[in-house]
Formats: sequence, structure tokens, C-alpha cells
Amino acid sequence: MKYDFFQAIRKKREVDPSSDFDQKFWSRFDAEFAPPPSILGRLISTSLLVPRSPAFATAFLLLIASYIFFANRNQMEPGLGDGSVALESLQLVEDLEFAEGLEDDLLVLADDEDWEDLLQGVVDET
Amino acid sequence: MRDESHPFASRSAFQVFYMQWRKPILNFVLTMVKDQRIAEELTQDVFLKAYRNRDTFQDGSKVTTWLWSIAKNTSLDHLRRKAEVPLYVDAQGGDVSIDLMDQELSAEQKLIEATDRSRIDHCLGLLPDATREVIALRIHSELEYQEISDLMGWPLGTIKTEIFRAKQQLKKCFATQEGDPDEI
Repeated sequence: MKYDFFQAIRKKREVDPSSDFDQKFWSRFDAEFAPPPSILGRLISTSLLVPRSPAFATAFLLLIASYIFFANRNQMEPGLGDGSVALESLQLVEDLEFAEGLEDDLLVLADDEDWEDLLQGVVDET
Repeated sequence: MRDESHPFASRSAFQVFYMQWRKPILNFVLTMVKDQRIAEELTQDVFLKAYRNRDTFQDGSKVTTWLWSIAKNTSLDHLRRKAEVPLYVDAQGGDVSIDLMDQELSAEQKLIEATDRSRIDHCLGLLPDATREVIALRIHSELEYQEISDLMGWPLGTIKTEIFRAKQQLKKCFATQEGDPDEI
């Protein structure tokens, strides 16, 4: 190999980057150029941290559990009203079926007022 | 449409380019600014600037020449900010051959082998900024003289003269004991 004065100087004084040089660079690079992660991406990247620390894992699981609990509770609260509406509807259907049954089997006619009462959920027990 | 291996074609292609050139660029910048912490930060700036301005890069040109020009300007900007004075005195001179005779080579090799790293850094630091820049490019960039000439905006002959003179100065400095007032 041909000797070169400047190559010899390079070999003599060349330094390597610090151990954290690349990490710092790619952090800066990603901060400027990487697209922002999606919510799912953030969740996955967070979940990857979980096995590294038991304390963090516990906190993370508690966080997920709390989220699920409150999300369900929020869905349940308006749902109570919905459930009562569903029960009323079921009652109405039963009343109508009962009335139709009466009409079919016993030839008892229900007039408009009776149907109105039935539709409003009022059933004459007599 | 850029080829997949082009440094700006993708992040992974840029990673390969970065890994190949980060060390030479760092050493060039270090020769200019003489502080590793600052040199590392400026080297990162060089690659970020290159990627940030990738759309302005003209595909017909050489990416490495472009990268070195960014490294040169980034170093000079830092030195200008630090010094707040003009850095360059235009070099004059004709074309000078830098070939050496065989016996000179042997003596030169021995001289460099006997000189430790701090001494080399010290001697490089005694060169004027512009000369040190040319020498740093010659040492670290693998650019041809013509490319260095284009990069510096100096005639080819001036570049060769600067390199020749700097080499003589460095050899003299390497041979001189530290603390000698006659250095360079």
C-alpha cells in the first residue's frame, strides 16, 4: 500500500464518536423527521416498556384496568335509562300480544282507546 | 425517482450513509473546532442539515461533496460566531508538486510514527484556519484536489500550494520539541 503523509496523520489522530453519539443523533433526527406516532403505536411502545420494570408494569396494569372500569361505567350510566326503556318496550309487546291473543281466542275486541292505553303501557288488570 | 440506495431515498439508506461518513466528518470538524463535544454536536447538525435540505440536492452531483460542503460551512459558521472576525486570507501561489523522493518518505514515516497524537493536534492547531480546513479535508474527506478546489472556491494550484506548504510546516513542527518558540 502506498504511503501517504496525510493518511498516516489520519490513522494517528482519528477519534471515534462518543458512545451515546448515535443515540443522540437519532433522537434529534426522529424529533424532527419521524411522523407522530398513532395512539395505538404509543400504546404498543408503552407496553414494550412493561416487562422492564415490575413497578412500572403494576402501574401500567392499574392504568389499563382503571381505564376499562371508567369507560364501562360511563357506558353503563346512560345505559340504565336505555335498559328501562327496553323493559318498557318488552312490556308493551307482551301487552299487545296478550291483547291480540284475547282478540284471536276470546273474540274480545280492543277499541282505539284500549290500544292507546296499551301503547302507553297501561294495562287494565280486570 | 431516486434509486433505493440513494442516501435520501429512505431512512434506512440514510442510516447507511450516516454510518459511513459520521466518523470522517466528526474528525474533520474536530480538526477545525478543536473540541470534541462541540465537534460532535456540529457533526450531528451536518447530517440533520443534509437531510433537511435533501430536496434541494441535485441528483447529478456527488452526495459526499455536498456533505463535505455542509461540514465545511457548519464548521466555519461556528468559528465565525466564536471569533466574530473574518477567517480567511486568500492564498496565492502556483502549482507545486508534492511528490517526495523515496528517502524522504522513509524519514517522513519515521517522523510521524515518532510523533504522538497530542503533538499532531497541537501542530495542526497552529495552522491558519483556512489552511487547516484544506488540510482537514485532505486528511479526512478522500476528496480529489480538484474537488477540494471546487469546495473551497480556490484555484487548483492554490490548493496544491497550500497543502505543500502546510505539509512542510507540519513536518517542521513534528520535528520540533514542544515549547520551542520557533514552531511553525
